[in-house]
Amino acid sequence: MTTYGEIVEPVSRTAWEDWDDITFENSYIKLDWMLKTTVPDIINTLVLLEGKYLYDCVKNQSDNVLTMINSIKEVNLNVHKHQQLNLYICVIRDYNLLQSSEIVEILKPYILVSKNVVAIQTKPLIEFQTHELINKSCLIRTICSTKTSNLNFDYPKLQQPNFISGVSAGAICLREQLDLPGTAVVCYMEHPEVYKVEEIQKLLKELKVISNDNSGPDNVFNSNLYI
Amino acid sequence: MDETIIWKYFGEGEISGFTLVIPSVAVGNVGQLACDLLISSFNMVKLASIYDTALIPILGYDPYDLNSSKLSTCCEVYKCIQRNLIVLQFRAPLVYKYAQRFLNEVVKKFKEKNVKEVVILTSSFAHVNKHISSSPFRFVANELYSYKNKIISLKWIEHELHDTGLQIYGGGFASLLYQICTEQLLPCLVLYKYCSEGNNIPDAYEMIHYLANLLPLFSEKTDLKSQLLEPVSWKLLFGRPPPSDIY
Repeated sequence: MTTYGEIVEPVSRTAWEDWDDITFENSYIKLDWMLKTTVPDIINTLVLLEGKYLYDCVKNQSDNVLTMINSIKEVNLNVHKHQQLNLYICVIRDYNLLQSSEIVEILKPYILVSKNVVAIQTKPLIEFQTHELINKSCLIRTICSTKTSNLNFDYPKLQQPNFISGVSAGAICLREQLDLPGTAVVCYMEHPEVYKVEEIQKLLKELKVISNDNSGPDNVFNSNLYI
Repeated sequence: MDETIIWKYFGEGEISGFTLVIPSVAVGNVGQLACDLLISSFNMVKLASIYDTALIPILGYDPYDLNSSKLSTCCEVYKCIQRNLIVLQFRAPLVYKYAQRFLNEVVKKFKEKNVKEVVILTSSFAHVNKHISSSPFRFVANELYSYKNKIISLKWIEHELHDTGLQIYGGGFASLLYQICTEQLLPCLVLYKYCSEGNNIPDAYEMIHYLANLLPLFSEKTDLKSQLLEPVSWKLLFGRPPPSDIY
């Protein structure tokens, strides 16, 4: 509710800073790693997972094939290493969009030494712009860098005017800028935080991020309680 | 933290004597929409893309060609040799705390490349316009700007400068960029329109009309509107069409 005559700017502009009356000194959180760890010389694949659904998929893993090696609490970022493979997984959720490029900068050592970078994010299906009728509850689209990677994803490309933003976009932008291969995978989901989505579970299994089906969000909607 | 800009060039970088148009991310994105119109209408070629911590990352495919597999990012430079024009297009706002360093480096780079002048396109909140019966456009030009006499003959209304320097409410980084250009002795013009958020496509068309009066960008033989081509990315600007089964 607003009072009569009050000027309310559209919600889409809330990610912006108010350049007319900036008070940025206090609103920025300084980002730093929890631990001083060394970055390996070569990483086979770095998988960036963005959003609550994917964060929970990694968190709810029951067989502990991943070891958390570092984190940045302020932006809910954790870096995990696969115990058997040269695979690093970075999960992030609920961060300030304005800090995306700073987060990418802090992840830069990992992004640069990786042979492949795959950045996966979830978005509400309602945000997918198309003239066509959508009759699926999950759509997966990709954005691939000019330099092709040896990881092949059998998903259609993300059609314009759709685009992605944030840490995933930043990581692939950086790879593209440096002529390195990278793929962004965007999963448009009808209920991003409720149901387990078969397509995403399959994708995460292919990338060896998860090894069992019990890694989706734990919710009453997934039980037999409600049919 | 490494904070230098990463430039990636796609072709011939000779831009000496060119006019550089930069939109400021502002109310209704009028400047960016106007630049989109320029890039699309002149079929401008991508000259470079820029990566920096000052830029909020954005990634998609080429917004001017549906069949393209080329990537498009937050900040890109486009060039039109026939019109001696370059456009530095922004697709997201700058992060305030890095903006000054970033804009300083960008202006320095273009100065080294001998661009002729900088034209900043932006917008301001309609509710701060005190003279609503006059034209909604205002301009500011520094002493070095060569078209000042032409602007006077066109009877453009000058922005009222106060002691605090140039302040355009809702105009984003336009004032900062103008100040940097002036400090680096680069001729600079700021053109802005008072407007409100909504469908700002007509504002962008009007801005191009205004600009075309000053810069010889379009043919005078044919109607200006017929020479403008909307980018394909403007389709679905207001979301998907309503589902047919609601009727």
